Amino acid sequence: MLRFFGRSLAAHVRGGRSLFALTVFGVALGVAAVLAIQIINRSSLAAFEGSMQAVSGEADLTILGRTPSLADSLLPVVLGRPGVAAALPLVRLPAAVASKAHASRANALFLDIIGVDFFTPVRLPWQGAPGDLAAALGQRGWAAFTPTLAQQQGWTVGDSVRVWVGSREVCLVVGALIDFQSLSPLASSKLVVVDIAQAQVLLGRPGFVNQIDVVLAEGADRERVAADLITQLGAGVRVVTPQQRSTQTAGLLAAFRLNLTALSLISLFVGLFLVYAATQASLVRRRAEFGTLRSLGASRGQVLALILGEVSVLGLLGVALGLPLGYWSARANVDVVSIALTNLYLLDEIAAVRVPLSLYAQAAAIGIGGAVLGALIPALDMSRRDPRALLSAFTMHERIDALAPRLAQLGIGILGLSGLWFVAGGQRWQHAGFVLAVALLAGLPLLTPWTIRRLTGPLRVNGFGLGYSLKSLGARLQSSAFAVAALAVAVSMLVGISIMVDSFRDTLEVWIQTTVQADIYVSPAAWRGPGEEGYLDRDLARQLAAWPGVLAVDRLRSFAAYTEQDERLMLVGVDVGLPVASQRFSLLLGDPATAFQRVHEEGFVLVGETLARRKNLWVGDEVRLYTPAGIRAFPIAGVYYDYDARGGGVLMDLRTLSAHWQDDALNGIALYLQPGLDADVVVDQLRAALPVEALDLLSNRRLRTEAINIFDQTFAVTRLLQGISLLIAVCGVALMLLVMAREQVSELALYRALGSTRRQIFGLFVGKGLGMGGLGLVLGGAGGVILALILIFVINRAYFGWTIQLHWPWWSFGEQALTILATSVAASLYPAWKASRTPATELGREDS
Amino acid sequence: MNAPTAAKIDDALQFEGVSKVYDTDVPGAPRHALRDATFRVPAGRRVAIVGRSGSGKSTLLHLAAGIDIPTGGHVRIGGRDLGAMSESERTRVRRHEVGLVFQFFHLLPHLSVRDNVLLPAWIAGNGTGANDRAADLLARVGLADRAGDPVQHLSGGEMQRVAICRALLQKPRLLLADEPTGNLDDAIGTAVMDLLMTMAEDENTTLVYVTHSRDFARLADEVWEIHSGSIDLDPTVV
Repeated sequence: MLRFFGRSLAAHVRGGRSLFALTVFGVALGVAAVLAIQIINRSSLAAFEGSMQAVSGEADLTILGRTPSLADSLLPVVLGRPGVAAALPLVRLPAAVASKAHASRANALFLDIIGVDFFTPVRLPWQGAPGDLAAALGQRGWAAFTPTLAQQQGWTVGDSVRVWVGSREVCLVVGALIDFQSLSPLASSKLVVVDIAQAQVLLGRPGFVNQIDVVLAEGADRERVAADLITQLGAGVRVVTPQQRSTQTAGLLAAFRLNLTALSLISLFVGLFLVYAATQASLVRRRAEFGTLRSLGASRGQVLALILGEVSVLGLLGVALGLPLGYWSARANVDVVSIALTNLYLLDEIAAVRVPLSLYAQAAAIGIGGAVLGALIPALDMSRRDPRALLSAFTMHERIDALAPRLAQLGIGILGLSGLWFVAGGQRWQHAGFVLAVALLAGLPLLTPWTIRRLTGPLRVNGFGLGYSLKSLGARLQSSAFAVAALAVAVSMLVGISIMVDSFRDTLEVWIQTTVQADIYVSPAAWRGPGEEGYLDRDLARQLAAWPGVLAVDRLRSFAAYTEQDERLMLVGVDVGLPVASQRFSLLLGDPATAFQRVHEEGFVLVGETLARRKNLWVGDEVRLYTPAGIRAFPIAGVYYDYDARGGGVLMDLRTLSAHWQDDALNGIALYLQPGLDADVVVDQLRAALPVEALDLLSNRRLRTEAINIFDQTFAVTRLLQGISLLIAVCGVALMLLVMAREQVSELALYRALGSTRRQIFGLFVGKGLGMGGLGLVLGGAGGVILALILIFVINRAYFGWTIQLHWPWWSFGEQALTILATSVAASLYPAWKASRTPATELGREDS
Repeated sequence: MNAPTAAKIDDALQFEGVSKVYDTDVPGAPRHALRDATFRVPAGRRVAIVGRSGSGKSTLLHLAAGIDIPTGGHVRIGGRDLGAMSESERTRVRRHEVGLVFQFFHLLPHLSVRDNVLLPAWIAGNGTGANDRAADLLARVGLADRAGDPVQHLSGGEMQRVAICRALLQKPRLLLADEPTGNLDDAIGTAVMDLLMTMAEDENTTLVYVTHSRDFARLADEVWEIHSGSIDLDPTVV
């Protein structure tokens, strides 16, 4: 049987190279999509873990503040606790390299400066000779860089590197090279180590640190030490294990990763259609072969094993092609995702892509398993038939034609039941939206055969043109339905995500226009990078406020704060007393006049929509936050629209924030100019007079554009997945047309015998391709609209809590429709050429 | 009528030293499907060709229809050499001057009875103008009331009647039928043959048909026999 398997497979491949290649390519694209997204997902978390491992690798526990920073006076307390062997204070501050090469936003180079105490038993992987501690402590600006970064930038020991820390220019000196990546391969190459005292001075906050890493004594119980530290240090600190920090970051990224994974699985799903359809077509063609085998004594199991064995080989080839393709796609898109992670979550950028073998194995299993799954139904169907039935001619087209109404009923049933389940209570489950999306993507293909028949059946044909092509699609449901269904799923994804993204973009534009009211926005350049620190110099703030033509100054302070339940949120302080304050924040709930007055005068707060939905906090409730003085309750005066990916924010008056957190730092300033002044002209004047390299100086118009650019970058990776799905679906169109060209030899020969030219046959097939594209567009368009509603009103609400106004991107629809039709026509060219070569002498062949 | 030396314009079909050789998997052992066939069929004649399976009957019809081209000799329709024509010219000849009837009918299941008949007109680009002609033909074969039916609902004999209508739709100069009764029982086959002869006569079309049946062959003006690719034009074989 094995020998037969080999020969049969070889003959099968030889007999239909194009079909085989297209199917393998479809599987390969599906595998590539899944692998690429898994690599990117894993790398996004690994980037954080890698840097954490490099910086706090030896720590058993990390003490973090629930307020912006920790007093270093806690250090002796920590060291004095039983079970603590060492306590390593750490200051982290973001910096932007100040050089002409990195002056533009596109080329900005951000560093993650780590201040460590060289007197503690910290082990750093010095490269070359051990670091000269005397120099590290005594030389102003001494800093250790990673060899990778030094090599990339052409820096050597002794070179000076100018950086902006907040709005201050600092000159660092390359004192040594530290290879963090030898400790943790995925650590950022942009980690820079300085003495902690220098870091505190740079930060402008002497006496404060960002975290204290704790190394436990041998035999000490981690849980017990952690509990003891919490008791001793008070409620203002959090004591977490490295695993807990990873888990928290994974939780932060969960929605982002889940969405990408879901999209990649849709690509695989579309790929499975190809396998199903190709297997079905192949089996129908080879039914006599199986009939002969069964007549000669082969068991049903042997026939099934033969078919599935062949499909496994096909899947294996798809995997062999898909794995490198997936890795390459991940490499090609990692920068885009890295930007999205930094923009959305302020996380470290992805420094390197490392793929464990297990991930390749997982992708390979998905590819081969998917191919076998895709072929299982037709294989089982074929193996169950008795030899007589296999040897007699039967047409699959008649079968699917008869099944079409029942499949449609099943599809409607799935859609209806999932809708009922959602309304009846399923909506309370966070993942309910995905259930609806899966039901839609399962129901849509089931509706396809019936829809094709209903749409093409009433067509009145009066010639051998497009109408005839469409009519013949309805007559060949077995082939056309699969291609159209695959295309419909891909188009659904394309249209659904386009509507969602365009609606989101439109909503964001309106929101930005409403909230971005100041004429000029100023923030430290380093604030754009990962991390949350980045302060504006007070003197600079005063200088800006006194600038000629400046009517009012709006100051902003933002940092992570913690709720009583230890949940992280962003706390924002602004000058609510400014006359324009009520325009800067559009309220979803609450009377603006009353709400802003209360926030300004009575210590009330506004909460972002995302937080309000997530924590069920509304007007009249209060939000309880950790302050340096303990937990304080802040009554809620209103809920504002926000589009934060990190869980939402709380907004209060800057005076309230300063009073409770004893924090007077600033992260940004907005300038309101006197009427008639051109913001761009004033920006140019400021650039000429101020240390502009340290600052992001943006006019109102530029800021709006920048915000939309960031938005577009964030969704760039979804475009890739949409493209892959569409490509697989278009392969499906080509594959099914090739199947038709093979199956319909007799019919094509008849056309030729009746006087049809090759060009007419070519046109007939191009018409079929166009018809498949059009039908896929109709079904996928309808599915896409429903998917968009699910994405906007269910999935987005459940995971992010944003309000997105539905917007119909007609122009984009038009472009996509033309693209889909054009690619469908392109996909039909080769099959059309093949079909047009069918000679009339093939007339004697039996049609399947 | 045998062995013409020159093509005549009023000959519907003429073969002059026509051979057809196919390559086989065995090198140096080609298969001679037709050997040096020479004959002419004047317009309006009805010719039957009898022969066993594999004798070259279908090859002869394919060559006559311009579906295939000979490896030697000349095939002429209305005095024009098909071998000297381009592919598209031969297609046009087939479209306007040749009608074909097949053993297995070759009706398209996704088209109605009427649409199957209209197919050659659609291909020729004159679908609208052919509606009346199709209706007339269907009425003449007794299928006027079945025009809108799917062809799967027809019996074998009815299907072949539809195929005959399709073959005659474009008023061809030459009607070629390959075993038109091969897939029908005797009674229905007889009815179909009668209809074919009548229709060919009514339409003033030259008819060349291939059959296994000596009885059906006798209905023709002339009967030729083909064996191993060689054609015997002696009418005494019947």
